[in-house]
Amino acid sequence: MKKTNIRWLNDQLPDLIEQDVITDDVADSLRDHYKMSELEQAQSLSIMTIILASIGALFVGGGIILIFAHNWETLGKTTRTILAFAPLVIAQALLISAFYPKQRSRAWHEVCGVLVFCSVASSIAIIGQTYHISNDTQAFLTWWFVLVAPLVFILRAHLMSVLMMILGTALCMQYDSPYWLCLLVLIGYYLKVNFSGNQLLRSQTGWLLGICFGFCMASIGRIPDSSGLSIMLMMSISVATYLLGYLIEPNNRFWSRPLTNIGAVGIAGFTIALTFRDLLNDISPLFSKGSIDALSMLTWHQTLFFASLMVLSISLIIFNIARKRFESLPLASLFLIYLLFLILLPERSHAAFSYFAWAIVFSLILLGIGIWYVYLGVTRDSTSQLNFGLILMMSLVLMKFFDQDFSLISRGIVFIVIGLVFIGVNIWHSRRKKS
Amino acid sequence: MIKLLIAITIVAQLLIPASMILRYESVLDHGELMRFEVRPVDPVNPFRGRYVRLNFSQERVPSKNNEKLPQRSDAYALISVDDQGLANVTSLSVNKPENGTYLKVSVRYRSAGLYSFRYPFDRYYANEAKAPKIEGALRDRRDNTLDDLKVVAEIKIKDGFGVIEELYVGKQTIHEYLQHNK
Repeated sequence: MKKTNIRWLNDQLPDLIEQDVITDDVADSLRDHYKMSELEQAQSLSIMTIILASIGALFVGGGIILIFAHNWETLGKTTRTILAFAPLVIAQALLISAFYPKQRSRAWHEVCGVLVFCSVASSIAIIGQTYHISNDTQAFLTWWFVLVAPLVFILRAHLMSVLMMILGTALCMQYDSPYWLCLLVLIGYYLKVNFSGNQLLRSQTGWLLGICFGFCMASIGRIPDSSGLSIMLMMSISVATYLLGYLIEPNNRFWSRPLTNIGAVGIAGFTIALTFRDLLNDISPLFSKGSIDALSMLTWHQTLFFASLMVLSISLIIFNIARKRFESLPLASLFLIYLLFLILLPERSHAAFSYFAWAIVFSLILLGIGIWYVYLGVTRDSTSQLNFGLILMMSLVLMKFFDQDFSLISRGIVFIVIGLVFIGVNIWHSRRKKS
Repeated sequence: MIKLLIAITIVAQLLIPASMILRYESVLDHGELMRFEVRPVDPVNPFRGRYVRLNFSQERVPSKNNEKLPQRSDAYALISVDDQGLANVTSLSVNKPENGTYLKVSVRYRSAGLYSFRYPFDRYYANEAKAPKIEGALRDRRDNTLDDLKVVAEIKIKDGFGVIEELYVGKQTIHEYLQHNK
């Protein structure tokens, strides 16, 4: 059997034992048969090599950038131009050698990735330094990202991809559309990792990607002059993340489902915000003049982003219904309910009662979803589902409580009660699970 | 497929910096020479090292024919040369001028009928030891009105794009000036 298949089997064993598909003894026999302990030892050695080599390459790359930052103005323009290209050409030569004449080790790929990443930056930077270029941070970062992006898919270089995630997120946060395209590259990398079969790499990349999404949300999900449409876009990003995770993260363990979990938190968070009447008051109906004006002000790439996300979210919901995966629907349907709210909301002058009624509707639906998740957690012995349901209900109570003008003593008591309920239910659940 | 992708990536990684060099060299070779009076300050960039930030004596001007300019956007600055041979921005416009020397600048905000804008060349990169010396040596020259002590940036301009050629104190380059005033 191939080493990658043995690794995959090794990753699956704890799940198979947990789901009572095989016993501990069978798992041990399989480990012995496929010599998994030796493989694990060899793998841990190779992981150490990869990590140390990557860190070394990062230091070398950073060193090159710092040495050039010294500014060797006495060397003259021609020499400095050659110097600008020298590290890049060397890194590219290493990159070619990672594939030809034969495919090199993962550590080699990691080193090449980091060196090319740093040398592309240093070569653009030294040109800027030589010609005294100003106000070009955006162009500098964009070229850096674009010129390294294909390597995310070509090389097996995780550290470089993590650095690209940071760079792409910084671009998304700092500059407007169409920098959401950077996120597409990062999603592509996650999909690539997902099919590689390495559990650790998969969950690490997924969590990082989810965190990047969170950081970018405020900039990519903002539609100027329309809080209603902005929430719709942000909810749609969360729903797409949640359902995409649901599709490609079949493992039931909490840490193995980063996109699903982060998407779920996003949907729940935005819906909790919608239970506040003050926020609802600022929202204009979907077909009102304000919303239509805001949509008409969007550039073509903003419109494309908005439309694609709507289509993607709704398609994923329909896909899940068609596949009878009803478990994902309660959370995902919150997006549809919000759409319904935007469509049904009357014009501002007649909306006072309507806003109040919708705040109650959103609160009740969230409460229902919270209870349903607690029920799922208890019946399936799933701590993460139980806690998600509890957190949902408690956040709702806490938010409502802070929304009203209660005294500090009553707020304190509610805090203590919620804390005790949380601890108590978790202790009860873990005892029940053990027994 | 991977071979092709690697080849395209490598060529692009070399071509983009090379095209940047060609563009700047073309401006330096064929651009029109302009002299701007400046006031230097010394900050640092993590990738490119120390530089002397150049504050220009003229950073607020009216728009051409009182046209309305959107804030935080690009505009064209029309440039004229005064009796002392120094360049001045006369007005800003969103429309590209058909003749005369012009620069592409970024408009910041409008105040009292004048637009504040940012020049596309406000950094003079220098050696990490030399940059603070330039700033220190030039600090006292900032408000000097004598021609031989004015700090002037020589800029080559072509098609609205400008590249700094050299920094001068009077008739000496900044490097000569530092050598003579250690």
